[in-house]
Amino acid sequence: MDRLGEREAGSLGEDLRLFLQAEAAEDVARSERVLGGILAALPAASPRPDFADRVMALIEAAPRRVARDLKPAFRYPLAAALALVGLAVFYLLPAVVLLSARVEAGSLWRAANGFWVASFERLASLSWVFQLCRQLLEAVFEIAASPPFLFFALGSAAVASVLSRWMWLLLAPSRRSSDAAFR
Amino acid sequence: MEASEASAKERVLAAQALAGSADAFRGLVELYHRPILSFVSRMVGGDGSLADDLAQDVFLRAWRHLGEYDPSRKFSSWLFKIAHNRTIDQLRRSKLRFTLALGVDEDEEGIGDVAAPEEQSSPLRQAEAAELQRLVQESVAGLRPAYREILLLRFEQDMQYDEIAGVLGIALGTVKVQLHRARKALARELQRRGVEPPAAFAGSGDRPE
Repeated sequence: MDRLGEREAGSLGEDLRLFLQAEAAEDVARSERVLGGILAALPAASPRPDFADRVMALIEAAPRRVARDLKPAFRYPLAAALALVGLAVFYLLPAVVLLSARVEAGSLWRAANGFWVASFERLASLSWVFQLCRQLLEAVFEIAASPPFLFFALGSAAVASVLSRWMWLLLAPSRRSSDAAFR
Repeated sequence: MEASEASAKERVLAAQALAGSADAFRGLVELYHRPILSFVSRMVGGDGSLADDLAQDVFLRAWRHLGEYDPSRKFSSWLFKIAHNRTIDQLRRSKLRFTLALGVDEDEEGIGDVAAPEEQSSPLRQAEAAELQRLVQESVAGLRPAYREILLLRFEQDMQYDEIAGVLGIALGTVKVQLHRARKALARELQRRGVEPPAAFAGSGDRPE
């Protein structure tokens, strides 16, 4: 691609006309060659001398993310899960510590064993619970199969998909398609 | 520096930066700050201060997301992809649609000198050349951002079609179509601003060179 760096006004004007001529003649190769020269010769912005220093200062102030290898789709759920686990530990840990201080050594194991044995014995006597669950599920399926409910469910799904797409665009700008961005 | 030499240097620096070397990343900043600034500046219509901030942010984002860079691809393409996303975000926010920017404003705070081509001819010719360059810059700035961007990547940054497709996240065929439309749009802009093709192609044939 020839550059116009040393060219004069007459030459640039000539190149502009040649570009228009090539476009009119649908001569793509020539048009691209001439246009390349024209655009490459435009005065370019030069950064200030301290540009790299300023960038490096910002970088030192903002270290790389720990989870940088994760894809954006996994980052937010993972961050939310970690936050929940952190909260749970924060609230539960003091309780566990307090309880363990009051429990005799060995009694925890005995309690766990007793709990499981008692649980299985009780489970055997709770067949009515399963019957209740079956009846509830049948009722739910009957309602779910009705036209108004289906209409409501499909509408909700459509709204949810639009909202999640919007959230996705908001949270993951690097995934935006350039076409969508321009229109 | 030759292209292959620059490419080899880029690979070495990118690998070192991936391993956590800030010095290597600084090398990449120094290698690419001019093309990135030039691209961003033209995309935002020559607002020097804004372009400087955006270019800075592009490198900052590159550092933060360096773990997502695939070393089998060109670092510059990845960097331009970030610049593309950042510029689009900015255009969306500010709805710059578009002031007929005069390229780079030399008096603008936040940007350095403009590297104008050296002219050794008369002041009149220099003035004519500057006027024509201004006309080209205005014509480019008057295009839709999508057209402006693809022209800059292809002709100013000298990228191949597949590289452009990677930067913009579009198919190779779309690049060709967009480029074709962008050239046509630029030709129309130039003609609207008074540049005419040679007489044989001008239609009437009555206008001498």
